Amino acid sequence: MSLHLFLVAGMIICSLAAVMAKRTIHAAILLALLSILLSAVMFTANAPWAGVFELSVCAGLITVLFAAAASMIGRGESYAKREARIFLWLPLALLVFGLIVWGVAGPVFAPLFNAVKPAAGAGALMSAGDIIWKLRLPDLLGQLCIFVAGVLTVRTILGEGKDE
Amino acid sequence: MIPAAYFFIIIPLAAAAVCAFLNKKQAAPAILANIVLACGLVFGLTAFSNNMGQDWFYGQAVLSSFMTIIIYLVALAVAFFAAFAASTKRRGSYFAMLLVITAGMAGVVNAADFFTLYVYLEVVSVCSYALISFYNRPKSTEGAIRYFYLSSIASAILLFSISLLMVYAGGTSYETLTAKILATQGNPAPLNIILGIMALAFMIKAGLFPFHSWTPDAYESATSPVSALLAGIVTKVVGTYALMVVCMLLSIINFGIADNPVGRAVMWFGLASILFGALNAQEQKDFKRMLAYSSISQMGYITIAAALATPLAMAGALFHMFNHATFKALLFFAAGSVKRATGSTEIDSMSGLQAKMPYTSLTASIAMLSTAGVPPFSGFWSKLFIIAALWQAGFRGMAAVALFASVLTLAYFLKLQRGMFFGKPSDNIKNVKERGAGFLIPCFVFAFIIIAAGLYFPLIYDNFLSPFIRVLQ
Amino acid sequence: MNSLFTPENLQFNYFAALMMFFIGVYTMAASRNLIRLLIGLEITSKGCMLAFLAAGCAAGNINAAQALLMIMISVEAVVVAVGLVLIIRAFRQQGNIDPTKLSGLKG
Repeated sequence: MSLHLFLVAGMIICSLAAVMAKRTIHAAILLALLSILLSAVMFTANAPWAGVFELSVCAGLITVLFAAAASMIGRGESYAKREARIFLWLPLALLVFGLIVWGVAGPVFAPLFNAVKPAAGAGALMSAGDIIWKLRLPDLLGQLCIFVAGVLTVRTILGEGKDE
Repeated sequence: MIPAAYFFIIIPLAAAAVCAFLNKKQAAPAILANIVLACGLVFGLTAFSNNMGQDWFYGQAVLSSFMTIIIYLVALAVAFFAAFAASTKRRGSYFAMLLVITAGMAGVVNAADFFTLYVYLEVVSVCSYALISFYNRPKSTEGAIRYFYLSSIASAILLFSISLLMVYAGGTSYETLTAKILATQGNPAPLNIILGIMALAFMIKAGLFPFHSWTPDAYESATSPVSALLAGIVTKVVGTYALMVVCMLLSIINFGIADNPVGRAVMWFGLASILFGALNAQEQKDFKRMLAYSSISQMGYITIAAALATPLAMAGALFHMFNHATFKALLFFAAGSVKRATGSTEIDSMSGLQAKMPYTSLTASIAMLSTAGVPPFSGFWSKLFIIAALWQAGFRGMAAVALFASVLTLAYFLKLQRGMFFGKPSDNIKNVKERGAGFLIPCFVFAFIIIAAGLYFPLIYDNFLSPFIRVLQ
Repeated sequence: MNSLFTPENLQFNYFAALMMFFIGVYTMAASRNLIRLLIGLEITSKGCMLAFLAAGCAAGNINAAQALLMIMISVEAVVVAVGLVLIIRAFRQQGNIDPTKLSGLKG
């Protein structure tokens, strides 16, 4: 319980630090740290496969992409003074938002959350792989579609687009 | 997802993979795309007649197959038009993207699960960014970036509400959710909130009034076939179709009563879009920008009817979706022809195009009259349905405003028609000629559909709309 | 290990997810750097992943949540790649990545 609490609190602090970091590359590294914490939460919650995915794709691949983009843009990015001032208000805004959510949305959703019983349904007997292959076939096909779309998009946008 | 639906996704996807390898060829990708989409349209019509009697989720089977037909119809027309209009060295990529976006839209409308819906929505969005920014222009990149951020926020909101649904119902499929709702006829408050959040996400994706900022830029800077695809079908599938699904669930939750709090809030958004789009379109100087604002206004009509969720309103929303797909695509095709012929779409820069381009002018005026809801064109019937449904459900003020906005629509289209097509030909269009058959055939087909659907409305009603209404009741 | 996710804990997890969502949206509203906007977007989607994890544990079907998360992560990767490519193109065309300084900002 306390480990879980610690990890989740760490995630919030990490995301605050990521958006308030001065340089984009630091923000990308803090985002990777956030992903690592999330994958740790996944491991503790008995979801090892999702944890491995998170660790390799989000903490690995996406960080590399961000770093590459940041270095390609180089000095084009600047951290404006005005922006720094706006982000100083973020912790306070977060606090206010948190209190509002705790006070308003909490009572509405409390009956919903308290009614949940962690009963082992029929699906719990299936492994994650079985669920993907047997119940989530349309999603898998959609994933194939999005890979094709992504490859085509990157090729189109980065390719020579001078013709009219 | 019903097994037949896989066909609509796998075949275009495979064809797209082939097209991607034919990048430098001029004719082959276009021919392949047209054949695949035409086959899909024929197959879709067959599937529709087979699905007519089924009602496994509150009319969802009928809705899905009807939407599949519209998607393939518009995609085929766009592919045909683009085969002549798209001048690029990367035709393979262009048509591959057109096929993938069709596959994605077919996935969206055939999904039986909110998470599947999310995955295919992302497919459609990714393809839209690429199609909007296909040509290397600053303005189109910017439109794509703005669409990217708005649409991604909407996706995140959607995912959050899906996770709440999972807590509530233990699953994410429409069936589980409906069963859970029917089993616990209790307090609708949490579910109303969850589906309200979801409706917000779909309204952002549809480009309704407060979230519209990307639409005019994107439609203006994209090429005409892409604008026709985006305005004609993409925003409808990712926005209002999904909204219709949510509203059908909402009306089950609230015991079939039309007057639920979320539905009412969505209706106000729809009304605001109708007025905002119609008023802003008056002041536009550019043909395509005017069409973009007109699209915002027409999306408002569809949204207001979908949120009302009575059987009559649903049928009106569905029919207006079909009509809007035909007439807005036709208008964007006309804009593309004008742009190709004269090099500009500024309304004030020319006049008297009718003498030079009689067929384009004729089909465009048919589409404009249909948009404004003038009888006997098809747009009249769908607006009549929507306004009658509003009146019947007791929203008389809204019905009056909707009627007033359709007069505004007529006003700005008459202004456009008088400025651009009628009058004495100006000097700068002396050498303009009518475009070839490739540009005109899609326009004529759509004009024919508009007139036929208007004149033979009873036939359309019996065969397409009344099965839907019957399932809903 | 499922005992980690009791009903009170579920509420806490959702609260944390909503906090991260807020941080992401605030960033997207306030920042003047397109890459930072994308980082904000990533944070919102991390919040959604936490919410899905909590929902799966609560529904007693962690494997279903795991399957959804795996698909979500790969979709997310494609979306981020496409977003970065769009940003790089905007930078090449205009020389800056400030969303308020892009050319035709109106409406």
